[in-house]
Amino acid sequence: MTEVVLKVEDLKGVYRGSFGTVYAVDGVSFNVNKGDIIAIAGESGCGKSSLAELLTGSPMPMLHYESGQVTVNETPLYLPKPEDKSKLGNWEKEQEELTNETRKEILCKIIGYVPQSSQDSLNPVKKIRSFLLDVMKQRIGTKPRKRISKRKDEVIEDGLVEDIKPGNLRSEVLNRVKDHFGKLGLDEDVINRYPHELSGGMKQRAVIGISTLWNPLILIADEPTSALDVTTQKLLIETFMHLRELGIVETILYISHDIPTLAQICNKCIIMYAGKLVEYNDMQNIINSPLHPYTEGLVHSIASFNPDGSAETDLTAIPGRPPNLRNPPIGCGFYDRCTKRMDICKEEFPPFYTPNEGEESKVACWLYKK
Amino acid sequence: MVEEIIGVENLTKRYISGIIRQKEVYGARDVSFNIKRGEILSLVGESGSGKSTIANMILRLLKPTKGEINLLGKSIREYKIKNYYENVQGIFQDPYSSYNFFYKVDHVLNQAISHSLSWVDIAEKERIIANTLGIVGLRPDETLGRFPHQLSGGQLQRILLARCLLFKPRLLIADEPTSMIDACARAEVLNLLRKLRDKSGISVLFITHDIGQAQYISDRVIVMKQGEIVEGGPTNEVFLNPKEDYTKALLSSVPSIYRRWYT
Amino acid sequence: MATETTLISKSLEKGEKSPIINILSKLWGTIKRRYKKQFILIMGLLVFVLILEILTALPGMTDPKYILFDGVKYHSEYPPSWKYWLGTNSTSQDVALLILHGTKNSLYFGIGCALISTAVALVVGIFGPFIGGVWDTASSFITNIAMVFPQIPFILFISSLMATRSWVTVMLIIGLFSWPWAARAIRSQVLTLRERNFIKVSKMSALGNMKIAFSEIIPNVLSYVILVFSISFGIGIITEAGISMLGLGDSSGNFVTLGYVLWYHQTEYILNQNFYHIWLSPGIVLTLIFLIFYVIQSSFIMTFNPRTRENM
Ligand SMILES: Nc1ncnc2c1ncn2[C@@H]1O[C@H](COP(=O)(O)OP(=O)(O)OP(=O)(O)O)[C@@H](O)[C@H]1O
Ligand SMILES: Nc1ncnc2c1ncn2[C@@H]1O[C@H](COP(=O)(O)OP(=O)(O)OP(=O)(O)O)[C@@H](O)[C@H]1O
Ligand code: SF4
Ligand SMILES: [Mg+2]
Ligand SMILES: [Mg+2]
Repeated sequence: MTEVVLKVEDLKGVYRGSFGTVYAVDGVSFNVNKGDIIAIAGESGCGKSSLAELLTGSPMPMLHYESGQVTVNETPLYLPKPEDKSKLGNWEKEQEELTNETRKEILCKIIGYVPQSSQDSLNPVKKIRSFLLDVMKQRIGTKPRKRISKRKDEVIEDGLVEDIKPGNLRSEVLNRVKDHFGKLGLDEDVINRYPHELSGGMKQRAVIGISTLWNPLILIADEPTSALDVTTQKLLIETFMHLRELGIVETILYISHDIPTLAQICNKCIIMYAGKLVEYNDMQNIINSPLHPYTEGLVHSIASFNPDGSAETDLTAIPGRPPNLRNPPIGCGFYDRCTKRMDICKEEFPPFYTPNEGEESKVACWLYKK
Repeated sequence: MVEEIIGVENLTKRYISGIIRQKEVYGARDVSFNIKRGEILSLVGESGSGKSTIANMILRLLKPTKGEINLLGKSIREYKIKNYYENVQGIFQDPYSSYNFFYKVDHVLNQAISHSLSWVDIAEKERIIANTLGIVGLRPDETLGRFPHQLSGGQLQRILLARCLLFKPRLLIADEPTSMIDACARAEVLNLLRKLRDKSGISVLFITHDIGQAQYISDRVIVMKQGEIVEGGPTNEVFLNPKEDYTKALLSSVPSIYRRWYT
Repeated sequence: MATETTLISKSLEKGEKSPIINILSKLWGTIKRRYKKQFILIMGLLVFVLILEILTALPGMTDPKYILFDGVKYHSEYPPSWKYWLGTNSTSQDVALLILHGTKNSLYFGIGCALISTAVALVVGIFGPFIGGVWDTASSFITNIAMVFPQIPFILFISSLMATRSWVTVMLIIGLFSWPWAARAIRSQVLTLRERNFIKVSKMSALGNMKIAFSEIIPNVLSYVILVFSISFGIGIITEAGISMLGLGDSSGNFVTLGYVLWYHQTEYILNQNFYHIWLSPGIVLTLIFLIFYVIQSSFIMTFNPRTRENM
């Protein structure tokens, strides 16, 4: 029996600001089983990163949780919204408190999160180690101290700290981090270097290392390999597989728009379009027999390298642009670009169908209505 | 008849950076190749391998340290700037920064046409622009009169291609034209480059780091590493039977939907 | 061939504008659209100067130093009254008239300084890095020298050396010494613009360096230029006031500025409690001018910030 670690139900999140409201994640539901590597794919601006932020339980300031629920190992991350509008202010406060309280635990023990382009946002004037200590301060409340004061005689039983918690000595923590980095194939001395002294791949691995220090249940990696060379990309993919072999993380949510890379490591795939989940299927099915017209278009528009033969002869692009998420269409978001559209598609968003019985797949398209 | 459009011989570019502790970097080192009429040649290599350096030198936006570039058998230094750009045109990686956000997208087209066809009157210019936009698969009414941020990356890149076509060039240098646009719009640009080659016999120097795209589009490929050519030849020869170790290593790390590293 | 010639004659018939004029007129159109608010402000300033000009041209108001009660030695100082709003001074001149002229001339002076320093900053900041080579090195060298140059002492030194100083000389001195920071700001902007692809695209349309500078670079640094203009305007006025206060301004005494009015009355009235309005009022006018300029500058900062400009 497979064990469900992450359950997402009708999750909605919006950006609010002077520009209006952007419906970035609009009713996404799926389950993640233990040990899965799930791909989240879709073109730029479809809400992949926003979904990842919402899954961490404490999305960034501009992004607001609207409704739905994320359950990690039976722990819900959000409070349900009150029916009564007047209690909304109260709810928001509680929501914030809940997020603040559980945040540390969620961020370090349950979910490891590697944000998009995090390797570029490393502070250039700080060594990796001070970045690391900052992250720890954020997550466990205090920076590990250099020395333990005599009054508080906290005894540390073990030389090697299994679980980093308040009260650990800085040197011990750093030793453990070095050990952890070593497992990822990074030099020990990486933590004493500045970001510009590291290559893109090393930086990215350092960031991954830091977010997996606490052996999270799930690792969410947002475009960890884009903007890197193919050889470095392969190295990173190897790192992910290695993390799994070592049992540091078992379940990975891998966000990318690069289908060939996803095809290498993922077993399940979520295709998003205009803030909505349009297809959930096995990775192999996505490539070989996609269900949704958008997935089909996406797969047929990529020029993938064929190592044993000549290239594909014909690629077809999907014409047009995705809809504006400020006022999303009522019906199927793909309507304007779809070659198989029908009248009903414009009026109503399709429900999920499972065309092939017994498979764990679903697709939001009217074509599959019986 | 196969005719050589451009020939590059021992092209070298040395960058010197730093004031006190000077460091020399070779952007390109003794690079020689040629492009024939109606051929798509891909230049592939990882970041920093000198692809853009070569493109900019051929486009006369950068002075070579050493070496010779010949257009139609004549050194490019013998061409007048205006004359040269009627033969060679280019598009770049980032479609957004190729537009001056101060102006509407028409600006680049008007700029081009007022120099390539300065003697034509306004109505005729408009007709030519509409025609050229038609070639790249755009409708004038949905592109002209808009600001760059109102169009998608693919559309912007195709308008820039239309701009190049106004000059009726013999050679098009495409420096990673697809890497900043969405995956599902990439095929548009790739197919368009092929179409231009087939219909108008334009030669293309296609620069990319994406082996899949190079395989899809090109007749010949050149693999570069740190400013030097590693290997070159017909596409299938290089990609299916690579000779050099570097090429082998490079190809083995390309993710592909046709094979899986882990099962 | 035939079509070619007919086309040429057609375009001649139409009397098409030459490209550089084309570029400039297009530039002007876009500027008018993009910087509407700033234009209204600048127009407002010019209208204000015009009103002052008309007022001071009215009969009986043309000479700021007109001595009202000639021959009367005593009791020539009158407190403010309906006839003389700010009273008269000991030489029996109308203080309000002095201030009116002073404001007008100070504004003129500011505009002059701003024009000079903006022009220099533009030339040094744009054409230096754009043409490159020796020009670039030279312009950045000059800017750096001018930057560390002790301007105020030098202005004082020059002013005190000259026996007769017309206001034009003073304006030139101030204008020519207040551009370096502006040139620096514009220069750094141009250096980043220079690497952008659209410059390469224009080069590939075989546009000359000058045309690229006008049609591609200037629109993008225009925000800086307007900012520089308004800041040097303020700097011009205050520096002139400071110099005049020290008695080193225009030596003919015919160019009445606010600084001059201040200097003119300082020794006599600064300690005189009954006549504080004589030295306070030019001070207040100066402060008001500065307040207005502060508001204008912050409005610029609002429009230049891409985030606040989002939906333009
Ligand atoms: N801070 C923000 N304020 C307003 N809207 C935003 C913000 N960040 C993202 N958006 C909008 O939300 C939508 C989803 O953005 P998101 O970053 O999740 O896309 P993505 O799928 O991660 O794209 P990419 O592949 O480019 O990273 C987009 O339409 C985007 O314009
Ligand atoms: N202006 C410059 N000054 C100094 N070095 C430079 C300059 N431009 C490029 N280089 C160096 O020259 C080498 C080649 O750069 P180039 O931009 O041609 O690479 P590329 O193959 O186009 O890479 P990418 O795929 O990242 O675009 C790099 O090592 C780079 O650091
Ligand atoms: S629901 Fe209709 S418009 Fe949408 S993808 Fe399916 S067929 Fe196309
Ligand atoms: Mg993203
Ligand atoms: Mg490049």
